[in-house]
Formats: sequence, C-alpha cells, structure tokens
Amino acid sequence: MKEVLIAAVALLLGLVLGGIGPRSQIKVFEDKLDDRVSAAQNCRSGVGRDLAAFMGSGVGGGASAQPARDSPPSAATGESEDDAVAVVPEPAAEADTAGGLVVESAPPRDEGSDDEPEEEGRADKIAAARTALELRRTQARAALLEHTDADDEQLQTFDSAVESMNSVLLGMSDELSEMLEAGTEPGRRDAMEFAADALDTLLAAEDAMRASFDADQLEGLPDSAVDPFSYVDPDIVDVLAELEKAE
Amino acid sequence: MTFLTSLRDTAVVARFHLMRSLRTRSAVLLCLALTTASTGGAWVFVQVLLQFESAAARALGVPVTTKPGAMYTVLQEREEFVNFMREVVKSADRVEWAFSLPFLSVTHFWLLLGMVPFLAAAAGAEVLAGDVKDRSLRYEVLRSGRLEVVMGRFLGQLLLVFVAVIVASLGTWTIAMTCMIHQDPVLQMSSLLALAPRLCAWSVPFLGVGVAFSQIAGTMNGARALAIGTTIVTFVAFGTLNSPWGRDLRLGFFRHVIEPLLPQEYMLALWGPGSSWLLPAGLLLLLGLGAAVATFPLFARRKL
Repeated sequence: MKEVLIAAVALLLGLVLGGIGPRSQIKVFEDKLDDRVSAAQNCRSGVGRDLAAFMGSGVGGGASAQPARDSPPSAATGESEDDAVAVVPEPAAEADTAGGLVVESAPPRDEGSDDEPEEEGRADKIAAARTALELRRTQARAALLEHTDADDEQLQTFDSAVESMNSVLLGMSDELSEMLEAGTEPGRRDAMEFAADALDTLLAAEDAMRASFDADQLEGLPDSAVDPFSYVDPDIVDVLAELEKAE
Repeated sequence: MTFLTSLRDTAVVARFHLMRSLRTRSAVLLCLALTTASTGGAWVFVQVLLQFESAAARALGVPVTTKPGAMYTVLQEREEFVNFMREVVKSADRVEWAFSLPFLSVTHFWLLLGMVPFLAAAAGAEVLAGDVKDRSLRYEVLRSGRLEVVMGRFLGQLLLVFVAVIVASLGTWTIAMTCMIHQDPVLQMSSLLALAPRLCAWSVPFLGVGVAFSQIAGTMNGARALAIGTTIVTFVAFGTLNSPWGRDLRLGFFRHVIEPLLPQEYMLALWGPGSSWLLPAGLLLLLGLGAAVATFPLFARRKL
C-alpha cells in the first residue's frame, strides 16, 4: 500500500510542479492576448479611427469619411441608410472639421447579398413557426391524454381523424401552391371555395375527434384540447412559405 | 508486510467498513441525505419546468398539463433551440450531449456536483475520528498496519458514497417517472447510472480531506467542521482565482501551485460526452489520495 501511495503522491507532485512552466507560459500568452484585444478596442475609438477616416477621405475622395452635418449620411456615402452601420457624433472630430459627423461605412457588399439576411430571417421565421406548431400539437395531445385517460382504440380513432384532416389540408395547400406557380391568380370565388373547403375539413375533423371519446371523457376537457388548429401538421408551414414566395 | 499482503489487508478493511456502514445508521444517514437532496432538487426543477411549459402553453393557446415534459421533449429535438443554447454556452459538443440526456439527468448531475463535496467531506470525517475517540481502533491496528486501516476505510467510505449516489439516482428517477410525462424509464435510469461514476470521482478529493482531518481531530464533530470548512475554502479560493478581480492578482508562482490542487479546476471537465471525463477523474483520485495521506505522518505517531 505504501508503494501505491508514494507513487500517487509522486505523480501528483509531478503534475503540480511539472505543470508550473506550461501554466505560466499559457498565462503569459493570455496576458498578451488580453493586451492585443484591449489595444484593438482602443484602436477602434481612438487615433486609429481618425487615421482610417483620413485615409478614407484621401483615397475615396472624402465620400465615406466625413460628410457635412446637414447632408444626410446616405447622400454623403452614396449608400442607403441601412448600409451606414453607425453615425456617431465625435467631439474631437467636430473641433477639427467644423462640426462634422464621423460615419463608419459598412464594407462593400456583393450584389444580391442584400437578399441573404432576408432569406436567413425568413428561414428562421419558418423554423420558429414549425416549432410553435409542433409544441402546440404535442402539448395539446399531452393535455388530451391527461384529461381523458383514453385507451389505445380511442387514441387510434383520434389520430386517424387528425391524420385525415392534415392530409386534406396539405392537399389543398399543394393545389393552391401549384396554381400560383403556374401563374394563375386565384379569383375571389376560388379563394372563397378554398376557405369553405378548409373550414369543412376542420369541422369534420373536430366532430371525428370528439366522437373518439365518450361524454364522461369530454366533460371537463379543455376546448383547445380538441381544437383542430392545435393538431395542424407543421409541414403545412413549408407549403405556406412556398405560397408566400410565389406571391 | 509485503506489498500484496498490504493490498489484501486494505481490501479486507474496506469490505468490513462498507458492510459495517451498511448495517449501521451511517449508511442510512448518508443515503438519506443524498437522496433527499436529489429528490427535492429534482422536484424543484420539475416545478420550474412546469411553470415554463404552462406559460408557453398559455401563450400558444393550448391547454396546460399538470405534469411537464411534453414541450421539453419537442425542444430537445429542434435544431434551432439547440443552436440557440450553443450560442449561450459556447461549447457545441457539451450542449449537444446535454440535449441527448433526459432533463432530470442533467439537473441531477449539476445539483449533486454542488451537494456531494460537503456530504463526502462529512462522511470522510467519520471514518476514524469516532473509533479514535472511543479508543476501539487500537484493537483493529493490532492485526493490520495503520496505513492499511486508513486506506481501507477511505476505500470503504468511497464505496459507500457510490452506493449513496446510486440510491439518490433512484430518487431522481422516481420523480421523473411520477411527476413528468414523455420520459423513457430505461434512458432515464441508464443516464443517471452513467453519471454516477463521475459524481463518485468528484467526491474523492473531499472524502480525502475528511479522512485527513479524521486522523488528527480529537472528536468527530471537530473533524466534520474542519473538513466542511476546508471544502468551503476550496470553493471560495476557486471562485476568487477565477473572478475578474482574482485574475488580475499577481500571485505568480503560488497561483500555478494552488490552482492544480483545487478539485474545482477539474469539475467542468467531468461534464461531457464519451470518455473525456476519465482523465479529470484520475486527477481527482490522485488529489483524494494525496489529501488522505497528508496527515498520515501525524496519525502514524498518534497514541491510540
């Protein structure tokens, strides 16, 4: 036992003492990194920025560096207002340039890159909508199970009602999407027919859902637990997104 | 005494200590304390999750359930939520791993990470102090060496902590099965059991501290107070050294000696997928052994 303990203590001491060198080296590098980071931060708001502004005025004909106070930034930079990321009043710059504003212009972007953030934003919104629908569906079903204590047969009937509702709704959405893709704008009458069909489907689905359970089970069941909207398939979001794009 | 005889004696003492603890109230108390903490903590986390899920259900216009778990299960599978958490935690593999585990397994691990050190230190303090005080230890050291008795009891107490962690896992599992929905019983139990060795490894240094004070203290309560006090000091030292203020302290050489001796340095490394936790667990084992034998020279000369 003594040998094991001596070995363990020796290993521990070795790790502690042997690690001093590497640890102090890492600390030195960390300190250097901190210095560089703080220097970079200082550079952004100090002499470096003034130098950059000066260089910008020299190279770019002053367009992006210091526009006149009374001219709007977009006019001075030749870019849209959205492209100017910050318009910061600079006291020091004011003294030098008789009341100018320092405008930090966004770096030049490729044509068509404006669409990328918009596309990303759209994808995020679609993902959020899908998640919301999935959460609604799961939570509503969990509440339904909790309140009704349904058996397997009842659940199967309920699930088949939900499934048929979703397949009809998806079919209708696909049909509408195909129409729009083909360039056919649905008229007033078409839109009303679509809405009527969708409502009929939802009503039939709710009737089928309620028919899955007996009166005792339905008593005290929250209405939203058998709301067909709570069970809409999240896939429908993709079809609706395609519709929006087609418009 | 040969090396093998010494090892055998240590194993015999460990087995005897474990069996005696299981028969007496010390095992019951340790299991009860850890199980109460884990079960109570799990229940609190379930209530917090229920509040979040109820608020989300009301916002989405769907009925509220009395037991949570449905919505969390959906979010666990949604990539955008995992990506959001990755941005918050800044460690992709650890976040992914956390979302692959049941909710209560994650909370169980982090809760016990805070609880185990104190209970282990208190349990370690009981190892020798009582028998030294009532002078019954003198008969035990007639048949085996003092080092074997210390190490055997240390090992026995470690096994007891392992048993207590397993029993505490049962408490968390029961809460998951009775107070939550959509929880897979097998996945829940297997994940809790998989985390038990990590928690055990985490307890070793603090158990070692307890054993160290148990060898030199006059009473069991004194040993307990010293062990728990030292555990608090390690947490305070770790917090201070890692605070923005502490990082600016020019401790130089001392910082590089103190930091690797603090068990908390290896705490976060125990959390993660695969076998990456084995190295920090090994270092914690070394720290525990080192702590346990730190006061042995005094115990070796102590009049029993």
